Amino acid sequence: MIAAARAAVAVGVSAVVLAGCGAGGDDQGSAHHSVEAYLARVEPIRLGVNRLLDGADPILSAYRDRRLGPGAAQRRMAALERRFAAYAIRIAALRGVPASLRGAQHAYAHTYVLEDSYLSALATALPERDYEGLPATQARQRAAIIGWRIRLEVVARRLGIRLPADLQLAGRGEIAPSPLGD
Amino acid sequence: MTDRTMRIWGVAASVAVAAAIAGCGGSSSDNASTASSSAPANAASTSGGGTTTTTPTAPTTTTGPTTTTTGGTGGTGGGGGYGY
Repeated sequence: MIAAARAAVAVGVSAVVLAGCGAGGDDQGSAHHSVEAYLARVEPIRLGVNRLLDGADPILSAYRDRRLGPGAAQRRMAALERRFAAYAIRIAALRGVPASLRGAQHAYAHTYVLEDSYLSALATALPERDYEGLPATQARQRAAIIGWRIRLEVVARRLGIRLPADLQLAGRGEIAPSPLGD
Repeated sequence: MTDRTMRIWGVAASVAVAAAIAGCGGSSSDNASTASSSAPANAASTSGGGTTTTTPTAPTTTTGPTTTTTGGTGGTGGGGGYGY
């Protein structure tokens, strides 16, 4: 089971990375500009999402410690989910994605859909503390995020673009807020 | 949880990604990413016979850094915060 999951993750990441292969026909100058413009649009979304998700942990820990009631915890998590959904729309609606990054961007944007689905299920599960049915999509999400970051690194290196240092967190940090605190 | 287990899987994923990048043909100006992929082809097709000694040296040197960089990508722990 674990071996199969490992293989699935490896194949998934490889597929995302390979998705942009062979798209090197752009003029170097316009490709450079295009990738930098893409970064300028994606970074506020990515950073905003990470900050937003940071806000989930205090809600969940307060609820775990009984400092927050089920109704309040659910309301706050639902509000967080709605804010996340706005980011999911923004990342899906992103235009002007360079051809060399389209495959990776598509996979990356889909992780937002999976995350929103998870957050929605989490908000629903909180009052009963019934977490068994939460979507188990973290492995897929992480693989896609890592694939996106690596593809970005490959393209940026080719074009001589310096990436933001904290981009290295993409795919390395937590993916889904855990109601159990692990 | 699954998330924690995934950090371990990240190593396996990184190895696969390294192989994926090695097989990915980039632009001619990208030394780091293309040399590893194009080198084997060059070795097979461009040199007739006399250059055989030189060709294996270049890909070995270039492939090393590429693999190292990629390997570090998925293996490091999160260190707090979310990873989008």
